[in-house]
Amino acid sequence: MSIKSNSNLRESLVSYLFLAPFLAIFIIFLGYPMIYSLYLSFRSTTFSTDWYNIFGNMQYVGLANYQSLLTDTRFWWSLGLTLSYAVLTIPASIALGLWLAILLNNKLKGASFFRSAFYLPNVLDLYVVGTIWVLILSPNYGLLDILLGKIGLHLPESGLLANPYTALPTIALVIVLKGAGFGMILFLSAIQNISESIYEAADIDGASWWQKLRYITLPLLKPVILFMIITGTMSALNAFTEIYAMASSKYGGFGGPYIEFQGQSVGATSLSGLYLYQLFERAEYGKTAAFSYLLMIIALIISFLNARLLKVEK
Amino acid sequence: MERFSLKNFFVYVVLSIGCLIALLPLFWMLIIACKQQGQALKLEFLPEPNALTAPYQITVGKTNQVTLEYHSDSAQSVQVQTSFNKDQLVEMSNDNGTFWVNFYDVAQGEYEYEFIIDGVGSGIKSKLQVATDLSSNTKLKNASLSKNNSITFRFLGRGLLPVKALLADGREIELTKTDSDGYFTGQVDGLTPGDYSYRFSYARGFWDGIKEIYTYQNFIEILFNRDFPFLKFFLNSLIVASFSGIFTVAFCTMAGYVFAKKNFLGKRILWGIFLSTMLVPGLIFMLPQFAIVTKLGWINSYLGMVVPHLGNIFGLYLLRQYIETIPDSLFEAAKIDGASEWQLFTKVVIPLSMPIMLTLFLLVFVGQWSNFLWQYITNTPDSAYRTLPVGLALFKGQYDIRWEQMMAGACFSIIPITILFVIAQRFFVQGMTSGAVKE
Repeated sequence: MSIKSNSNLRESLVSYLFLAPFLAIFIIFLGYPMIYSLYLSFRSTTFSTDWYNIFGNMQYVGLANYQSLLTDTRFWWSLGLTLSYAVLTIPASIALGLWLAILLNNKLKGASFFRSAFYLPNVLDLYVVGTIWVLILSPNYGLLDILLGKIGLHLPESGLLANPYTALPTIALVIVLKGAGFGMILFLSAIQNISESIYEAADIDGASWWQKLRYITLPLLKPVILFMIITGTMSALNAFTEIYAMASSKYGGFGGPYIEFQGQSVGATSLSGLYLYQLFERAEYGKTAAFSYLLMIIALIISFLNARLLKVEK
Repeated sequence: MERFSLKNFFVYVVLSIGCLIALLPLFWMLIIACKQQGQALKLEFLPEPNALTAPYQITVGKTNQVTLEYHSDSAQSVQVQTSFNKDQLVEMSNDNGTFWVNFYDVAQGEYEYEFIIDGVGSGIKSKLQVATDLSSNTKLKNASLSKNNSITFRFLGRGLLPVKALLADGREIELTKTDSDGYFTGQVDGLTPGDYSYRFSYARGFWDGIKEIYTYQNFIEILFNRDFPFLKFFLNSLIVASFSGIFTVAFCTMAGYVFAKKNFLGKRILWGIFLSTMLVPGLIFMLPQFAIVTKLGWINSYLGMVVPHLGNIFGLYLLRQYIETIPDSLFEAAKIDGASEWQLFTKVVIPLSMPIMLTLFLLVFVGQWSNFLWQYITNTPDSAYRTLPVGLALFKGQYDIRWEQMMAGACFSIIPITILFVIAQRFFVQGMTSGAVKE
């Protein structure tokens, strides 16, 4: 008994030595920030704050940060916009990824070339790719406008990214295109894991192409679809770079072109990530921390719902 | 081998079009990056055998009009000082790098003029003879003179015929080579007084045309730009991404090993805590991490960009999954041979986990290469540690957008990753699928 606990103790000790670097980084940069963020969310920078020691010199304000956020139109607007961004990107990504996977699963010659070509944009720098798309989508001199001009059409004078109604869908489209390879690879490997014999059995039963997709392929791909919903939700909550690259100050306000909402002028692409950054940039660190916490609660609720959904499926 | 079928043909067409759209930014970036200033936004890829200059304006009826022209790719503004204008500064109109201005009622005589580029005098006083002829000099390229009811065109060409002046009303005037300086001249008479617009049309060889559209100069200029040195940005990105990759892999492999093969106190709780952090969007850590980095004095440093991201939970998960598949018997055999704990790790775990370590390295490398927001907030705009995306964002924020230079800058971010991906795509794909499918 004592020998066993001794060896257990030794193993624990060795394990923690191996774990030490990772654990240290985790505690300092992921664990502690959670608590620190909560602490900051009850404080606020004021006029008298020492700007060389901002974080150590913030005033306790109680729940004021949370209160002002929850009564802020722009806060709710940003959440609504994040939701619509998720709705714009997630189903389209799933559909496009699945479609490409089905096309590539035809055992074509050169399939590996197409697979790489579609996957490549996924690993490229989001900010840079967004910037290139700004050039392509620009009114008057952008490639899209010039090509449309050849068939007698023209983009609206403001262009797609400066128009409050088309800005977010356009960005969503670019992101779906850029990320298409991600879903494609996941679906492709899942499809290739489905046993041929199931399809053969269905063929014998005289199932049509659509029936096979609907009753065999899709149900077996459900885990991948759920995974894509989870990662898609995360990306929508994390979305910043693509918006900043494509709809920033050159076209109207910080969060894209302005639009009227409940008597307030709000950015048409001011997603929660953008609004969070805006608070951060204005050095309203208390409010930023409170926003972070609210976002985290939302993320955890979504994750919980997703987990429930996964369980039901299983 | 399969037979040709209509269905397959259709699939190929669809895939090719899709491919083209997906890779469009890549192609477009490359094309624009190689274009000359002023050409970037034109839809001209192969040179036309007959090239046209930008349109010029001239007025007939006023006595003696002189058009002065100056070419510069870099100048923001050009002014000209002429002796017939009592040395007053006159602003020249800019047409894609061609600056021009018209003077009217210039009395006969010999004059001097000097171009002032971006407020700095060129120091070259050129001579101009009005009424008899236009003098030639190196700075003055194309010049025209209107006198009574006629226009005299002068065009500096490379010597390929035909050279024509095209009037807006459709008239074409053949210019002939008259002097050794390379000027082509021609005259049109009997015009009614009024404003005339004209362009020069000139023949050029294919390579001359290519040179007029494309250049490699953008890359050089952007690499050594004074305010936005992309060579420095590139090296910074390389350092940040490489060190992030190396240390993340090292830490994750060590931690993944003990989670896969050891039993220790608090293992399950720790694993639970780690995994639940994966459910939190990373953006939420921005503020507290920024506060910590500020307190540590790591703003404007490699440390500030690298260290906060070394605790990669996804990487830990990936390594643990992989190391679990290493048979226990290997460890037992090594133990019997007297291997120490550290030797078990270096002699068994590391060699067998190489593929997944490489995968994680690549994923982290690419991720940090593109980590815009964090690098943007931990660098001040004048930092010596600005990385590529940050540099590009600051470059974009300038008043005047030079798209061809911006795209040249973009190339330094996109092309290395593309090459890396082509070489090592097997590892990229492996990382993604092994992370997702096992959920």
